[in-house]
Amino acid sequence: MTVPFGWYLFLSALLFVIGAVGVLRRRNAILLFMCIELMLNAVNLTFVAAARHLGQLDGQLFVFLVILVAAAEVAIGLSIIIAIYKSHRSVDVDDLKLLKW
Amino acid sequence: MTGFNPLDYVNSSDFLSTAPELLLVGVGLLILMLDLFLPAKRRELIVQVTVMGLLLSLAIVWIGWPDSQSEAFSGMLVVDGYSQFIKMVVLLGALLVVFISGRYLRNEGIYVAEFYELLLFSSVGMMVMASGANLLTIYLGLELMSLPLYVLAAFLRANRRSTEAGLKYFLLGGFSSALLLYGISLIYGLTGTTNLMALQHSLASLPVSPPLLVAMVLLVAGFGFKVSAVPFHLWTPDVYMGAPTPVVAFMSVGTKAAAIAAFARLMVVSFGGLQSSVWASMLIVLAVGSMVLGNVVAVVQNNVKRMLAYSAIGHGGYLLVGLIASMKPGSVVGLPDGLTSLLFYLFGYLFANIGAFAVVIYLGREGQHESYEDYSGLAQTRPWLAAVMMIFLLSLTGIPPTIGFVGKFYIFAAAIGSGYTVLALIGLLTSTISLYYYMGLGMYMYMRPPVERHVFYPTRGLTISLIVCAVATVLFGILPQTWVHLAQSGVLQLWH
Repeated sequence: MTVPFGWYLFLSALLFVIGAVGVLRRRNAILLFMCIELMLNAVNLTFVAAARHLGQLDGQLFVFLVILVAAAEVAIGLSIIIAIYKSHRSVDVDDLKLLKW
Repeated sequence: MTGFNPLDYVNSSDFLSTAPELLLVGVGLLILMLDLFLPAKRRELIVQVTVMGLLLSLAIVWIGWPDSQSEAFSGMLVVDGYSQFIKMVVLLGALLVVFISGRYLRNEGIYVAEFYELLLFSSVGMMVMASGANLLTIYLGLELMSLPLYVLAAFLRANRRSTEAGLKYFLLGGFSSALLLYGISLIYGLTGTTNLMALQHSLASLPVSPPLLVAMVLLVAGFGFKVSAVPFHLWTPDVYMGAPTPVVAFMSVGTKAAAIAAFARLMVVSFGGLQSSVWASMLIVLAVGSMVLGNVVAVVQNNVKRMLAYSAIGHGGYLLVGLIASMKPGSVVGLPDGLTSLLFYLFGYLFANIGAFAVVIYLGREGQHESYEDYSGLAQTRPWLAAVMMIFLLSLTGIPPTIGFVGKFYIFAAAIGSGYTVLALIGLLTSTISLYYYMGLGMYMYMRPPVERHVFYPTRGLTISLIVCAVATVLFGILPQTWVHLAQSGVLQLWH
């Protein structure tokens, strides 16, 4: 017995919402960033499930490229967070008050 | 099992039609290499190579201006007059930004090679977005555009405002592209394709169901962020204030042009019927919000960069009006339709906005001399600079005989032609509000006594770009026809 398509969609929607709420509620830049990654993985799950449901490969291909972009994003994001830590001695977004948020 | 040969799927025409992008990628990599081997005092060569690359790419776009739409890389990209017009705007923007940034970079101690290289890669991303005919290429273009911009925003590593701007832009940018991506995945799940033309066929038979609505909202959120439309504008003032000024000049024009171009292509090509009226009603909220909030909040600003940020939000609203108008047929006789006016508006915004940022660079180093008071009496100390700034401000307000007036006129006319009279009226009203703060800066320049300091940072590059921007703003304001026809022929090619 296979898991129905709808369940995958439900799971990925749940993951996505958890990520989105995390981005809005969390204050630590690294945690915020992890929540964004969670959202991206929810997207990947949707793509994979949809590709399987439709019997196509396009969705799987999309996932590869999303993973690729996410990796580049990690490299850039972490370096920016390090730069922030060096200049502000904190990665809490509430401490970033020089510009009005 | 037969062997897989990737060369079966590409042919030489694919490379020819994407030559402008490929050239820029090559130049970007070349700069990286040059930076390794060049002695420090020969760094100027890197700037020259960048300028040459951009000029050459622009020339290729210009010479190979297509008469009809053609596909490249199995329909992942399309090349038509519409995409080429946006590429022209992006390349001109990048070129002007290279010219205005020379001395600035030295003053701030920014390492040259990486700056230019990231600028080039970001331009390539924008160009890919303009040509994207598949949600996949549009997404990849968007990320290729954004990732270098995150780095560029945080480029002044020792400057706390700049790193802060970088982090904010990065976190909110990543969030918004995740939203966009989820929207794309839902669309894929519903239709089984991500190709824009194929989407048109599958979406036509699809009712407006809750999942489709969610997908549309997510797409609007993702693109709205890049166009800095209200309520996705929160990052704009902070990033504009904190990021290095040339970077802000570049992204204010390039990001907007690329994002709205891709979004417009997606909406116009793929969605029709009831779906486009749903889009329109969503976008009307965004457009009205941006026009009102951007222009009203700009009134109370005292920092020129921050004022320009809010004005950018307002201009994003005007662009959306053009987009909304393009979704309903019908236009005032003899005047261009919504999409054409949108392209023309972008063209005009390019010169006026980059020009205004060039004046900001002329006046002071990063984070200094950015308040209105610093512009006091500029008409006496630097009459030409004040006059040029006045031209840009007039164009941003939309007063004849500048290009900004023509752009706004076309957009509002197109809105009226498609039956959105109220939207055009709101646009007119908010333009009147914008008169107040743009001319407020003009008052400081012309009516106040000069301030004591006034160290200026003139360079040849700045002077050239100021002259180019000012001349273009006035000249094409009086003679807009060439560009309007060019934009119009491009828009007609959108539907083959």
